Formats: sequence, C-alpha cells, structure tokens
Amino acid sequence: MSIVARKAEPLCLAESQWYEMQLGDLFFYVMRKGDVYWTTQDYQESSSPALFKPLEPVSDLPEHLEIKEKIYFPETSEQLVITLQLADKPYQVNPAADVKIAPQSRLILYVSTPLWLQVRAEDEGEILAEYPTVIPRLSWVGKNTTEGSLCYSTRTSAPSVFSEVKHYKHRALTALELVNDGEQLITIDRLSLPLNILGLYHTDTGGYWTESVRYRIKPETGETTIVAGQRPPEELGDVRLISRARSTDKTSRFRTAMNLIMG
Amino acid sequence: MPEIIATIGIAEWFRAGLLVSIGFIVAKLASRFFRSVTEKKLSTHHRLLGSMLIFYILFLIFFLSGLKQLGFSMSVLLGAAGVLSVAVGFASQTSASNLISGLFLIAEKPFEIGDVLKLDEYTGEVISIDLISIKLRTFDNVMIRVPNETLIKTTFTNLSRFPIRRVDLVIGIAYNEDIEQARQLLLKMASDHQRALEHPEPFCIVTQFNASSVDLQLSVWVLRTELKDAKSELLIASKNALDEAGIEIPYPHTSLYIGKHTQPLPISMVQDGRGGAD
Repeated sequence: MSIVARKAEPLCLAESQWYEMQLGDLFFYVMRKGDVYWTTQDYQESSSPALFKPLEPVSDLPEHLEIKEKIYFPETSEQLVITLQLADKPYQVNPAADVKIAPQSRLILYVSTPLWLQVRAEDEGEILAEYPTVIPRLSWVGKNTTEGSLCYSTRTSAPSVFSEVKHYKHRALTALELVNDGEQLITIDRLSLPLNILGLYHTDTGGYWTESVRYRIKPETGETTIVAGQRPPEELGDVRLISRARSTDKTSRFRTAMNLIMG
Repeated sequence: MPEIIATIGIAEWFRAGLLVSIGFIVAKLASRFFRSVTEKKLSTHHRLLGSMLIFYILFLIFFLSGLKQLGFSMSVLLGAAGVLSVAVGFASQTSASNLISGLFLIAEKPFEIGDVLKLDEYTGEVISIDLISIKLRTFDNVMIRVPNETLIKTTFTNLSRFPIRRVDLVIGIAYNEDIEQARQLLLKMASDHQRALEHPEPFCIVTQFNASSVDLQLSVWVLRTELKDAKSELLIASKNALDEAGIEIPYPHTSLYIGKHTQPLPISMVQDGRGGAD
C-alpha cells in the first residue's frame, strides 16, 4: 500500500462565466470577474438523493439565488483550488442498531460522514470559503448538559464487513476498530469520531476514506484509549492523500479524543 | 505643607511630572501588551483583570517614585496612609464595600465579559467589570451600571453560562383530541428541526388539564446563541404541524349552562312581525 499526496488542480475559469458544482445536497456556484470570484450556494432537501456533478459552466445563476460572497484573489499570487475536507468538528456517529462487543474481542465498523467543500489558496493555503456537502445536525457530547462539547451527528448503517461498505461521492468512510479490553460486554449506541484530527484519502475504486481509528475500551473502569492517525484499511491498496487533518497537534489530538470519548 | 511645596524646585517638579507621565505610558503599554499576548490564551475576563492589575501596580510604582523626587519620605507616607485609611474608610464605606464585593466576585467568577445577565427587570450583556461596578448593555442598547455590592446581595441569572439551553414550549390541544398523536407529531417536528440538537433528545410531556386545553410541554435543546430564533421557529412549526393534522389548538372559551347542566341551552326562532323578505 502506498500513499501519494495529490495536488488539487487550480481553478481555470472563463471570465464572467458561471460554473456549477453539485455534491451531496450542495449546489455550489462560482464566477470569476477579473481578480474577484463570486460565489453562492444552495442546498436541496436532505431527503432527496445525493447529487454529484463536477464543476461545469452553466448559462446563468438560478433566479432564486443571490451572490453570497465575493472573494478577491489576485491571479498574480497563489492559485485558487477547490478541495474536499473532513468536518471541522467531531461527528457523533449513531449506528442504525446498537453494537455489542463481547469481552476480550474486537470489531471493525465502517462509518461514513459527509465531506466539506473548501475553496482555498493552493493546496495547503488559506481557506477562503467552505461549505458542508450536507447541512450537518448539531449534537452535544458530554457527561451532562453543562460539561461537554458540540459536535455534529449522523446516523449510519455502520457495516462490519468491508465488502458491504457503500461508497458515496460526498461521504468519507472511516474504519473504526473497537477493542473490548475488559471482562464485561460493551454496548455501543453512539460514538464520537474526532474527524478534525484525521486526514482524508481517496482511491479510484474505494472512494474517500479517512485515517483509521482504534478505540480500546475497558468497561470496568470506563477507561478508553483512542489511537488516531493510522492508515486507511490495507484492502484499499494505493491511496492518495487529499487533505491533511485540520488539527495537527498530536498532544491536543490525543487529549481531544480522550475528552470526546470520556465525555 | 505649603511651605514644603514652596521649597521644591522646578527641576524636582519636572522630574516628578516626567516620572508620572512615563509611568502612565509604560503602564498603559504594559497592560496592552499583556492583553495582546494573552488574547488566545486567557478569557476576556481574565485578560481585563490582568491588564488592570498591571496598569495600577506599574503606575503606583512610578507615582511613588515621583513623590520621592519631590522629597516625600516613603515611611512617612506609609504612616500617614495608615491614619488616612481609617478616615477614608469611614468616608467611603459604600465604595469600600463595592471594592471588596468586586474582589469576591472576581474570586467567585459567576460571570465573564460577554455573558448575558438577568438582574431584576434588566437583561443585558456584561461589557465591563470594574473595581466598583459592572456595566451591562441591554439589547435595546442601554447601559446599566450595577454596583458590585448589589451583585453580591441579590440573585441574578447568568443566561449564557452553558453553550446549550432548553426551549420549553407549552402547547394546548383541545380535550377531544388524541393526546398521544399530538405528542408524537410534536416530537417528530422537533427531531426534524434544523436548530434542535440531536442529543439531548427532545421530549414532550402532558403538564396539566387547563381550563380550555390539555397542555403539553415540548422541550427541545438548542444552541444558546440560537435560543430566540429556535423558540419562534419551533412555535410556528408546532402550529403548522398541528394544523396539518387537524388537531385543534383551542382558545379560552366559557360554557354557559341554564337550569339542568346536562341539557343544551334552548334556542327557538320567533317571528317578530315587523315585516321581512316576504
């Protein structure tokens, strides 16, 4: 398995021409006028099937839409790119059915979370604008309503067999390895996935994947250790790095993850 | 005292003035530097307190140095300060009380700058915490000064202490409606609402049998910053959901009984003989 960093293609837009891109529930529009990029976006009903259309010219902006942002970006400086990234907050993953793990055993769950679309200067440059491909629902994770943090929430089928995993253009999959280090059964009805500390990868056949995450849980003490930043599953073969983790501080990554898990 | 002042030369006055001026500038710069350095590390509240402390300590040092330049002895000053403090203490009981209350508030830290407080009939955002008082800005942009002593003595509510709040909506439905259907309908509406947090989950309970309605309480957790919008949107959505399902939200009404309360009020049509459409 090899990991190659993929450089995003710079935006080459014709002058005064609207372009449209569709991903998930998001309609993204952009037009260049000299050194200024006009952008706007819209969302379809969340119950509708997911959209996918690469950036293409369109005759005009839909009538009901107004220009929401004007990004001044001189062509003489860096290049403007559109990239995909993981969410800016952890995701609370709610498996469709409760998951029970027997003592001293392990299980891998494959969970998917919506991607974010970013307009940025160069690959690692300043983020000029970003939009979730699906409007996320907020949730609260913590011991009680006074101690905790906000996160996004998603419901997922969370299959445990690799071949059953469904790929979507607007969602990234994460292999979550759950290890029961204790002598009691563990029942998991929801998990907090620290997406902000994970990198995003892509394969031509397997779609988008994040770094894998391992949780080691001792139900007797409630002690949970999280190991993030592992490679995506070996079954994927060669993968390309699309975006690095939003938060790269390893200490804070570990602490954040611990806080998220322990509440 | 005037004789002593008369003996001080212009050079001493100049030096003292210079020291105090420099002290003021240095103290201001140091407190600003502290605020900028700690911008991402400390809360606004702690930054303000730290910068105030730095300013007053530095300025006091320069001020005392200025006095020394004028020939004032520090030991005499400290001795006089002891006597003076008793006199000042009597004269400024209220200020001293506010000052000490302020120190207690700083130690207890029941609120910070930017928090929204509800105090008696006032609700406003804390815009400054000073030694004697705090300043609130109400939402209609009026400044209210609250002495620290008042805050120590009275009960106030900090509306922005926690990031999430619960919106409680009381919705009445008619007595002849299906309570369980209404409950499920309201819960579904709340769960689907974009501003509602998925966890803690919304809940709906029957609170009382009111004069004209069965009252349901729909409780939904939302972001503190979206409380007002969420409340309004949830009320509208509740009304729409109940209307769509044909569930009546009754208004207060009175039943009139004449004679036997089990029989309806008798109504009969009587021709008045004053001509009509015939």
